[in-house]
Amino acid sequence: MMNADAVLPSSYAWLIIGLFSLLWIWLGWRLGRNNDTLDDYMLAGRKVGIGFAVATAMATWVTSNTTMTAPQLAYQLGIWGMVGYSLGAVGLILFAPLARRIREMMPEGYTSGDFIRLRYGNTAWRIFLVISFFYSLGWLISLGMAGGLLINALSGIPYVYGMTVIVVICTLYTVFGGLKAVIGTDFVQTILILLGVIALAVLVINEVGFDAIHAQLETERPELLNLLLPASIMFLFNNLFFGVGEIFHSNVWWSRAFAFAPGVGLKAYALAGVFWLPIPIVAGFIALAAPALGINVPSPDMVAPLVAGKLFGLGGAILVFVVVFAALASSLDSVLAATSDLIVKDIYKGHLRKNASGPELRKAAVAIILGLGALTWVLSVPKMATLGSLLHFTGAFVASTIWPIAVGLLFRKGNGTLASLAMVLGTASGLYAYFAIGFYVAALVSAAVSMLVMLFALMSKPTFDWAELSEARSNPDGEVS
Amino acid sequence: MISAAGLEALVVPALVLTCVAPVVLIYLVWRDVQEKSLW
Repeated sequence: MMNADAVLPSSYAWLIIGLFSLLWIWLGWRLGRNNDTLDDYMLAGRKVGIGFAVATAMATWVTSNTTMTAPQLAYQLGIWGMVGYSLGAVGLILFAPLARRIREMMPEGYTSGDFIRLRYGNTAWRIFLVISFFYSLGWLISLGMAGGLLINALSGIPYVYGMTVIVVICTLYTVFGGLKAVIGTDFVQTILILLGVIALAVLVINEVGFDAIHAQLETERPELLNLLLPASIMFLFNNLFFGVGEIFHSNVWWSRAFAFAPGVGLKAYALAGVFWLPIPIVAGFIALAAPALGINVPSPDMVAPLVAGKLFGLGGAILVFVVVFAALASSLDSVLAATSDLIVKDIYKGHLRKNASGPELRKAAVAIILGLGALTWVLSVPKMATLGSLLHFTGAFVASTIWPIAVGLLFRKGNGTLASLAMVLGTASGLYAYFAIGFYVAALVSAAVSMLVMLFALMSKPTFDWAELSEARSNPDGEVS
Repeated sequence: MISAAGLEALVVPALVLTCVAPVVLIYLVWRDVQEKSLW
């Protein structure tokens, strides 16, 4: 399917895709060639410095949603849409003290599954794994499909080609270099995204200006400037809890807590949150310039590329394409790596091959990353809208894990029965709210019910012994003989 | 209803912070590279 509204000629798009693909794969190979142990491959040797740490947390949290949905929300929900989206930074900032604690309590842990198993036992662990895989699958499909849809919308390249390229490239460099490749490319991708967003915003301010944007909005879309929109305010809080649930439970963020050098986690996550916060506001602002430019917006998700194309022609279109490509790759590689870690440690070693050695797990990790890449591709090919909205649907699931994780990390109170109940009842009530009321309350309801259950834990006597967490030892698994 | 000045007061600080980020990141990563913290 060709797209007549594409803002970038497909020949340019293929050239950009080719150049960056070569760069990512070269970086992946270069960073991964000294990977000796399982710790090197899965956790970048557990010594990632503060600069790389901030960049990888930022880049992973800047998905294609941040660069494309924030402008769309600004155009649909106005000021609260983009401010609400920027509150996604709260999850990163709240996770900062937890990341420090995770690194101290489990210096040789591997996954979020390790923590749940040691803290709450096998039943809670298995419930948690179901929630986590469901979420990872939703995120992988949403990124694969977004890759195909956005590359098609921007350049007219057919959906399947664009989706295939992004999935194959990310899978390849993640296989070559493990987490080191993911983190190294994340740094380059972060800089590209930031420079692209800055350039577009500065040009919009210079070419159009605040007064013209405001005057035209007031005439054409005054509701976007309204600060008292109840639906938008509800969206804001739901988005906040969804984001916190995503970050608290997902192994994408736990694997980084284990991988960052000692003393880095708290500062890195806090700084990443502060630097991430303004991005949706700046990206959203670009979209608000559309009425002042007299742009006819056929669908809200194309508003940012249309503004860039209208104002800066080919240069603007190239800029948007590079930003979107970097945003997609920096998240897809992270979800592939962290989900494969969870499968290697919690399914393969945890359930199937309990005595597997380090080298065996290393081989399994490569096969599992390739398998996940293939699964993402297969599920993204049919371009089913229902699969695309799966990530949206997972809000009810992930928000139920916030309180069991926070209580479990900070207090000796609470046991596996309560944690399991909190996750099951939270998810069930969140799903009920999703269908009975709407998507914008699912995460809120789930977090609230799960919190009520965990309040019983906080009223109980402290029974857990922290020493049990340090069972998560890498030796001899981490050694390669 | 947010005014034009209000819109500016929201966007300009956000843009300034976004401009600071790459400078800080490049400096911190340069320091990391000196210490070989990724390979």
